[in-house]
Amino acid sequence: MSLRNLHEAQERSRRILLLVLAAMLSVSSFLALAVGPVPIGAGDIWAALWPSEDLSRDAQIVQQIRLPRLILGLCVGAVLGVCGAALQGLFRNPLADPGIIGVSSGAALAAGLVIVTGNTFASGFMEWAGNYALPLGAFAGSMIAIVSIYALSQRAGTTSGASLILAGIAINAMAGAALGYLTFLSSDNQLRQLTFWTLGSLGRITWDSLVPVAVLMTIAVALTLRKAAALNTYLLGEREAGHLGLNVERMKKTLIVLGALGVGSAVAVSGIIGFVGLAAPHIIRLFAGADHRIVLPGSALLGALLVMCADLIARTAAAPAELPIGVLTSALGGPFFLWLLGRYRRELF
Amino acid sequence: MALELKDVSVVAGRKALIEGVSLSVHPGKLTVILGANGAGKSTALSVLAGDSVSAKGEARLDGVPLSSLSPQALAERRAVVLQHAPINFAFKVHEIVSLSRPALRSESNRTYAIEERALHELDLAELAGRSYPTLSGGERQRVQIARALAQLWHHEETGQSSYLLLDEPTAHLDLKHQFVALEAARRFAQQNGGVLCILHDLTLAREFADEIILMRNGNIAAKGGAASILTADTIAEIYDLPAHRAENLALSLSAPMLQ
Repeated sequence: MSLRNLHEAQERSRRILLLVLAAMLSVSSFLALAVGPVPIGAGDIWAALWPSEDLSRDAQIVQQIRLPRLILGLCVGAVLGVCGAALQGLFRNPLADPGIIGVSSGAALAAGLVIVTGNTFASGFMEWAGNYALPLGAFAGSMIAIVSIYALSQRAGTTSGASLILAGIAINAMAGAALGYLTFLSSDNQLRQLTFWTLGSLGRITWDSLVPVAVLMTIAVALTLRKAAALNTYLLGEREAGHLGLNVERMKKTLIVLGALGVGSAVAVSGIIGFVGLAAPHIIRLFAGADHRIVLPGSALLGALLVMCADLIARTAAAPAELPIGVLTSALGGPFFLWLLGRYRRELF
Repeated sequence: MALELKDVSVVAGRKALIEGVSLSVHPGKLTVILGANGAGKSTALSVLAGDSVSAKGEARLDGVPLSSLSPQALAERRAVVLQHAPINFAFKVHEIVSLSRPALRSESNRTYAIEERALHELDLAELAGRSYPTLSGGERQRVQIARALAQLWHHEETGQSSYLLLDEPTAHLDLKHQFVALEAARRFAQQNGGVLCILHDLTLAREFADEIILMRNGNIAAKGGAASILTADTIAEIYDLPAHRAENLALSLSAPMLQ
């Protein structure tokens, strides 16, 4: 079989995969707008998509509550999927996930610090940053987490799987302890906000708080998608990638900043939603191989799909109560991670 | 025209890995480095590859210091195969070889032809669609050599001399494929490329080397053609062997090769 045939067959199956994902995403987007305590018809949904003064009650529900939540779910899912895939590439380890290696909890801790102590210790910053204070704080937290994990897990130019996971455990534990202490310090109102962060939720989003983080998440996803070819080369090994002409140091720094930006903004607005960053890239690789030119966009679509489906279940399973979405993804993702550990045990440890 | 080291030293901690090493790889020639473990062979190769920033002295490509060339410019002129690096992601063999392409160059008849030629050269045509992590160590090694050859062939049309650096390319290979790999390296040299190859097998060195460099304790102990270099005395010295073993080895090397 010629390389051209191999390549073209691969391209075809990839296009089909992306199309299927996009179709599933459209259907679930419609469901996310239609299904809820009040079932809403297609006519009202259509009306709600356009600016208008006199909307029906149902259309207003869609416009003010369900639509921002849908967009948030899409952004958070895409960002977690893409950043998960990119971090796995950066660590050259398929077990990296923002939740498992501590990037999300670093961001959550920083967000917690902003909520509980921001107004007391950094009122100037809070005033200056406005709606961006939380995402900026979470960005700083995830940045510190990624850089320290990276430094801890490198051994002679390669990433050790064991030390990556162990560094993640340590960082999760420390962030958990600090968040626990913050919980202890916080007032009732702050406590409710903190719980929201540790369990994850797409609820209570408003257009005002959505726009800044949606912009940041879109930037993170778009710029990371452009690194696909470089990530492929990088997976050959750091020195090997350098020999092929890749500026390795610059690429690593870019990925660290983009990962922190993406995960930080996602956590700032939706709390910790674990395992999406692990599951999405793996499922894509299972169907389409390891090439990042398919893994990154595929993970964006699948991540968005997973988060939206999880949110749909979270909203409807125990209606009118709402389950925390992070609890749901962890309950499903935990067993998936164990399965992966079994699969990779021999190669990675 | 050459890829060369001029009086290069590399120190790690307090230990000098190589000290005052000068050597050159010429287009059209296959140069083999021999030496015991820890003699500094891989260090010398990594300086030639442009890796070692802490090296003292100068590494030059056709007279231009490597440090003044960008990673991309260097990638057009020299390719490197290091000792085995694990890849935990399920790339296909043809995808690994396609990573040899310069950034931004997409599929074309020409790139396919080059990559097919590289796969064929290393007897990998049958394995093109296989998943890289499922290959044996020797098969992976051949994929890496094919990838390096394709990297240089992608820039063939520039007509500039190019250099292939191989760190123990035959380490995991079976007997037949040791010959396949080194014959590919020799053909590359015959098409006016320069090859530097670290080996441990004296028979292969004698068969394939145009020039042999012997390294010992971070220095170059001797250089020259196989006949003048692979003597009982030098073998005993380089590998720290008892005289009778070295004599037997030298004797077996000077016997005519069974074809």
